[in-house]
Amino acid sequence: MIILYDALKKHRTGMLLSVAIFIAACVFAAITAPQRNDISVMIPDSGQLAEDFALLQQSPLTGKIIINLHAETASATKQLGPAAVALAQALPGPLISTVVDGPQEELGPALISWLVTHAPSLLNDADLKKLEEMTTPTAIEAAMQHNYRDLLSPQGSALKSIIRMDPLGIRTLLFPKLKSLSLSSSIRIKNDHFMSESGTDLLLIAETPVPMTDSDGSSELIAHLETTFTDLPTGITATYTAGHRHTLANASIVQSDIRLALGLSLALLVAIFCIFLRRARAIIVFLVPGCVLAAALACTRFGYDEISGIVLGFGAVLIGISIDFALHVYFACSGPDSTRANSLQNISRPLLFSTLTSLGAFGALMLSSIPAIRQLAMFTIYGLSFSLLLSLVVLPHLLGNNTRIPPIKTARRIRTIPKGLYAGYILFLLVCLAFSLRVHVDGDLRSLGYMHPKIVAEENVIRSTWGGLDTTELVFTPAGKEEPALEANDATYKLIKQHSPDTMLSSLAPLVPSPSTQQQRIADWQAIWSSERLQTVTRAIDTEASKYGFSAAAFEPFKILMAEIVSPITINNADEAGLGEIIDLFLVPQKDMVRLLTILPESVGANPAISTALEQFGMRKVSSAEVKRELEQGVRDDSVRFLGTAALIVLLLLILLFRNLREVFAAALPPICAAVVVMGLAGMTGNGLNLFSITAFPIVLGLCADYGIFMVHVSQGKADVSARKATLVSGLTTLAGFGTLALTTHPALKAMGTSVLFGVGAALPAALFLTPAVTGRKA
Amino acid sequence: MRSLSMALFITLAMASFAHAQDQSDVLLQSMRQQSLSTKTIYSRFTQEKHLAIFDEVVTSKGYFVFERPQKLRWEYESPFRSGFVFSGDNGKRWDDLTGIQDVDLASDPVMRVVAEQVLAWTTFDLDTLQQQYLIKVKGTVPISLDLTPKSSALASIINHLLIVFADDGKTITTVELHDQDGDFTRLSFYDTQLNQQLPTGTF
Repeated sequence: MIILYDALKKHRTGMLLSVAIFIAACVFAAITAPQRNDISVMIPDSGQLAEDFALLQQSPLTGKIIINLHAETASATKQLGPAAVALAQALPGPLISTVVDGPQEELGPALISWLVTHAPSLLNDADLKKLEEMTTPTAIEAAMQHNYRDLLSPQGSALKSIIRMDPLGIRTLLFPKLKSLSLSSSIRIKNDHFMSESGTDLLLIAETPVPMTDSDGSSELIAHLETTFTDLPTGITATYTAGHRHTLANASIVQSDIRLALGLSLALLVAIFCIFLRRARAIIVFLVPGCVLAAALACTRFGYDEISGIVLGFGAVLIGISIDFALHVYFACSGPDSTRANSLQNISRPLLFSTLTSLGAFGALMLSSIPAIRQLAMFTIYGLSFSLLLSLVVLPHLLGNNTRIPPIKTARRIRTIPKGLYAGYILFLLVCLAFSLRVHVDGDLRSLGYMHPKIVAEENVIRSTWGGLDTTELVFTPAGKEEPALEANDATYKLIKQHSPDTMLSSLAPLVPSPSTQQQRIADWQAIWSSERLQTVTRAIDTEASKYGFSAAAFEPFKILMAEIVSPITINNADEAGLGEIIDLFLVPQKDMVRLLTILPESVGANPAISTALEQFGMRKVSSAEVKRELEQGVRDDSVRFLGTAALIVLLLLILLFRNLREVFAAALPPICAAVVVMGLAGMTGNGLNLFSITAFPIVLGLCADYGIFMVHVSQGKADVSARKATLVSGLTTLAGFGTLALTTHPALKAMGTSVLFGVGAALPAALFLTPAVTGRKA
Repeated sequence: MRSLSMALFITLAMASFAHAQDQSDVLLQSMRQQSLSTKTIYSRFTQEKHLAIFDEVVTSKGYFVFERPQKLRWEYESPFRSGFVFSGDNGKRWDDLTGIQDVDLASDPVMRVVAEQVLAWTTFDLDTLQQQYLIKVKGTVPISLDLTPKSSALASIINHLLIVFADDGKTITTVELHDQDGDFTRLSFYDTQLNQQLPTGTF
């Protein structure tokens, strides 16, 4: 350290200029860093949970905007249809690609024709039994009578081609299969719109090219929607759900939290400066965290494509903790320049080990499977490393001569405190210890991201009206080509129906069966429609037809259909029937393969027999509730990993540094007290510890270990007594940085801030008073 | 000189077209006013189905009753008894084979379109007709209109409609519905009574 200081002293100007240029470049990189504010950064990116979350994102309505129009009064219900039509015309543009307000109107005749043409592939055993009953002479007589009457009615023109192709009414066996394409049992088709059972709500589904991760795009999209909604007629209100709302809400709240946290941090730091430093040159100390923040952001930017809003919010914390090293150096260098090198030499070892404990503690966070946590860890590691470098190497060259700091009156008061306060503090620790046994882990996703109350309320309204897809299970076939995917999809359908025959499933299987199922059905159909039977039926049709004056060629299309070789149903030709958009909802493309989706009620999916059977077939079953359970378990596993690793690293470093059990214990006291108080308060309030309050633990351990290290060094006489003041001011600056986070709104930032506020708040008295008491020497 | 004559000819042609268009609009508007003043209609009809699916023209007889705003009864009496009655979105249909069934127009798109179309044609609901059809005046004595569907869904079934009015222009005498494949249905109305008291239980 002495050699380095003396060497740089000769090239001070050049060194400072280089540092200034570097920092300027970092500031530019930091300002232009792209941000990311969606919930996906909080979700593990590896392991089963990541896979399940990715699959959940493939559910039919993910990424789409669900709009609910509600008629406030009975008379306003008539306005719902026209309002929906007007909205479906007004919304499309650059921000919204399509709006679906009901089933496709062209679906009718073309679809019926397709269904009847492919009846051999679609009718199962039960259907074929009913079909046999429809081919008796009595049934044919009744069918022809109905056909005659239908043709004479006003709807005759619309039914003509269908009756010619299907005089027996086979279509009545096929229509029920369309129900399997309905995503919700709560949807009714009325007046060509998706209506609720009560008739007071109408559903529209909009698609947007704006990704949910795009904050600016989300802002424009939401503005466009809400402006268009103002044109709705009186008595009609609109509520809507879209992931973009959460992205925007989170981005907005993170930005306002950043402004609050940074602003308040800086104000508190200025106050601390005025009370404890009180020298103009001490302002230089405050340059360090600013430079550290810029450098850390710049390095993080080059390591990752985007920076999470959580990491930016953590910038306030980094200011608070990175200033610690600068403060220690500042206080240590309070003397003429000639003594500086020696002062630096004395402070460098505890400073280095403090840095190592903090780096070790933050390094434990790199074990997290959550991208935002890992990014936060790297951000802080960069920051602390730069802080050490700047504080030890650059700062001493900026302090000039005679930076003796005038003593403060409070120092004397700190040294002697009543024994009653000691006792009170220890009692408080014991109470916290008792309550810490009641603490639980909260894995709810809602505690990781900001949920605007209005958005949540509207989502609840839509869920209660239409039945939420978050109360359903999604079953995905393994990824594969179309044919194996259809086979797996069929197997899923049959399996679930076997265990729960009355369950309403949403699946392609009834309308796009697997090739093997189709083959079997066609064989069964051909077995029923032997040439003798066909002749008997067509003769009966002709006989009855002649009674009503039908022409000889009236039912030729039916005869041709019966004689035709049936072409198999594929996803493509189902598309041609007008089912394309609906079928797409059940298709999950994966590169050149596809997964098919089945939707079933959660209560059915939870059936152990069904779950086991599905797993044996290689199907993946996912639901929001299951992802939540996996996340909760993940948070518990992470907490053990973080705490265990951080505690182990800190302990090993303390042992390496002191090699004396008593001194190790004395240095470890502050982090121990911090952990007890944080867990105790969580247990007392019943709030639980979520992922981010647990993430703060390694931070607390690392920081508070620093205080213990410096206080033991002071007790050993290996550090100047000014280190005690430095520890106090460090603690206060950390509280200024973290304490402001406790005032933020975003749950992740708030949780971290609260943990560290109470942890460091408890550790500081332990470091200043208990640690010296344990070492047995006067500080 | 030639170009001047051409320009004059085009101008005269456009002027006469515009004049004819104006006259059509005036005529339609006066018919609209006439229909709006009609509160009830009772009329008998003969229906001829000229369909290739039948060897011969199939003739039915029946009657219909309308009461503003949206009540309609349409009944066949021969060759068999059947019909439907609607009031708003709800109604019934009957057949001497299957008996009486309830119908919800909102959930039955085919019946809904049928009821809407029949109501529009027989009552000359110009607002609905102009939304769904391009209307041309083919003749004025008697008034006859040619309607061509605007939407592809309706056009897939109906090629065009022909509506002919009585000489006094107050009632419709004929509606011809021409399908895309050349088939057509002719409804001939007679004994039409406007704004009469209707028997209770009609709807």
